[in-house]
Amino acid sequence: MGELFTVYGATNGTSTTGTFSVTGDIIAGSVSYITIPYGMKAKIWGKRIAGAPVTVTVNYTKNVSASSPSWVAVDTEVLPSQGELDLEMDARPVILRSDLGTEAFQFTWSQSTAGTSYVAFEIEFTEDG
Amino acid sequence: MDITVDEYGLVRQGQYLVVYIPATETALVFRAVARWNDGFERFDYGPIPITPTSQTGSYTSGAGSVPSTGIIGAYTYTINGLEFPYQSTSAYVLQNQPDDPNDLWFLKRDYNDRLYQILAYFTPSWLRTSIQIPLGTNQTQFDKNAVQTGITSSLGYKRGFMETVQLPYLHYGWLFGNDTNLPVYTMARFIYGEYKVEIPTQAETIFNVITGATPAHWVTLPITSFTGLLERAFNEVYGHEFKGFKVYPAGQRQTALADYAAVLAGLRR
Repeated sequence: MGELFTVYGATNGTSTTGTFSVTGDIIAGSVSYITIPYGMKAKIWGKRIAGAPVTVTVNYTKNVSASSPSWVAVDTEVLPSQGELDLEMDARPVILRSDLGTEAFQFTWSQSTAGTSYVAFEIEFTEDG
Repeated sequence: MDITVDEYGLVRQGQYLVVYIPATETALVFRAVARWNDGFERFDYGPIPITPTSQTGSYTSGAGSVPSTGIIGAYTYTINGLEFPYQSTSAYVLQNQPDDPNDLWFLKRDYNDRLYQILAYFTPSWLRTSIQIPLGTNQTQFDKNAVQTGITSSLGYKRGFMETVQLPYLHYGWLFGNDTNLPVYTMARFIYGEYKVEIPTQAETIFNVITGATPAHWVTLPITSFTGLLERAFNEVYGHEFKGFKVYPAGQRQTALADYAAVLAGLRR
């Protein structure tokens, strides 16, 4: 049984790099990373990026509870100019597994000039293939 | 097509429901005479009744957190089973004083011809879930009784869904765990059947249902120890020393029939 939910966030408009703080209708508050329930998979089915030019990266770690988690970039999207990018990944979602219960992912931004960009991601936690 | 249950998974009227008790290796055999809420099985309860005063633990360290009613904090699990109280909102109108305002699934002692089959769906669906029968007693175990399992363990729980049968004169405790770093809003939705039931009067019928000759929907309750509360409930609802019908192999027909006849003779109807 899967749970599909949307998270969204924004750059702070002043830093050229950073980690998105994301929230969503199911989340009470906001978080800078998302852990994956033990034994399940996270699938990122869609991405929306809007506003100032920005490079958005999905980072994954096997152990978020480490004192300095080792984040690996697993997916990157570039919004090259002011505008909007709307990507559905029905055939090829980003799939991230939790085999230990300590895996997590986060979204980071990089900009040549700091500006306000908005992101939204459709995420599913699932036990299916 | 499964002839015993409908598209929801609820036992069809006229079909048999078997509730198996591992602790006693017995089964309660019911025929669903009628479904009181036939055609109206959906119940959108609302947030899971977890509150800031609920006793919680943490999958990481500390005591867990409940930021607000209905919100289960990051890495948080319930220590005590929760009951679903009637809500003091306009969600539904109470026509009469319920049997127990704090536990809407509770059936009073003299309702031995009634039970609920409950299919509980929880949001978010990754929530770990389990159930205490009776309330306050964790009974899920692995390797017979070598390991206590449940939502705090990595084995012996479900995620986002539970099926159970609510027997009369017992309170159940519902357990939840959130093993992510997301504090989440919760929701409970039930698909339920409120049944008028009867225990078959013929030993032959009991035997045929238990041995599988007659189709039935089986639900195993996580009861690995037949506690005093269970014994009291079974005695007072169904009859003195009633623990269900022993599950005999198909080859022990005569022994089973004699046993079932004796049990049936002592049943309170």
